[in-house]
Amino acid sequence: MSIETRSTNVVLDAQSGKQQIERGHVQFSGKVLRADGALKGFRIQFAGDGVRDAMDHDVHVEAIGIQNIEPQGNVVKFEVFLSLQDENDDFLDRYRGAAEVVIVAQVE
Amino acid sequence: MSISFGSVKAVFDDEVVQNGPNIPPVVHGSMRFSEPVIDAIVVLKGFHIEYPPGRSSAFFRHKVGIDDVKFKGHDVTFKVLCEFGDDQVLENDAHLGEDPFTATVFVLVIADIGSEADRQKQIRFRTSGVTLDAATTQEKVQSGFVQFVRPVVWAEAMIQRFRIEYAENDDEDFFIERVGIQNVTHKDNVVNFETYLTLLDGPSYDPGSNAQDEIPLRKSYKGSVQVAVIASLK
Repeated sequence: MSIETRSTNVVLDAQSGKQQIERGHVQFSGKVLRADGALKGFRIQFAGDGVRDAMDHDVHVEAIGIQNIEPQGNVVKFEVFLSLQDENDDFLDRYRGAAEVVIVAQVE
Repeated sequence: MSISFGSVKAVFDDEVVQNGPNIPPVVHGSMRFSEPVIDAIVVLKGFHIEYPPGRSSAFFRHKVGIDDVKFKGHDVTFKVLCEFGDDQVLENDAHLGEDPFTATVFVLVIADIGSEADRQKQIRFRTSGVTLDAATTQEKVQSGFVQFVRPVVWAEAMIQRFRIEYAENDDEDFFIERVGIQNVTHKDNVVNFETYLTLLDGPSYDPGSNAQDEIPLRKSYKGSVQVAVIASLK
């Protein structure tokens, strides 16, 4: 039984709405008994198709992180959540981001 | 004699955030392990910060993470920090207890457990803080390193906490925020890394210009990143 780590980058494309979820996975050298994750880095920004959407805003909600980390054989699956909202605009603004994730696993 | 880990959720409700003047929001966290803890790191897994319904705010400072990690017996204890707001809230480092928000900060506790005699010989932890001075550049990068007692086989780095803010005690709108660690390498018993920050408010586009081609270079910002390194040693 050993401890291993893997890192990967998960990109969340420009969308509007209250929260985005993007799934990711990493592979280990053996069967994973337990796993958890942490942030190595993140990027959050307003973004959109038009000039206006790419401008700055006040902030109502800002969120990013890793959740639902599940080992399945040699693979660990997880989700990255992202939210960036300026409530003055009724959640219509598009935002995007990325998370650099480190998965720590106990490997058989 | 093994590495164990688990997650903790720190909730910053109205009572914590509105604690009073000059008292930054702090939640005390802990995790109990099945055996005595010999060493531990606590790192950031994510955060969700939200103003009350119907309210948005300009951006001045964002500080999230873990401080004051201690271990005794089977327990790891730590403080979870979360500051988020405009300069009316955070002026001159004095938390004025206004402009309430709520937040949840998700943390990961990694511990080396067992007896000292049987200490996990391969996996070790180190932390190091890197400060990035005020500048207006699109991206700020500052290198750092940690040293171990033996040559490193592999290493990885995670955010323990970060602080990023506009440098002129002035609120700005928010366009992009980037925080993290990159280019983690090791040579002999040293792990080198770079920390990066970006905090920009939006550009003032001319009508008809292509927003994708313009990079805003406007306000000076600064910050710091506390890095936690896990390494396997020879």
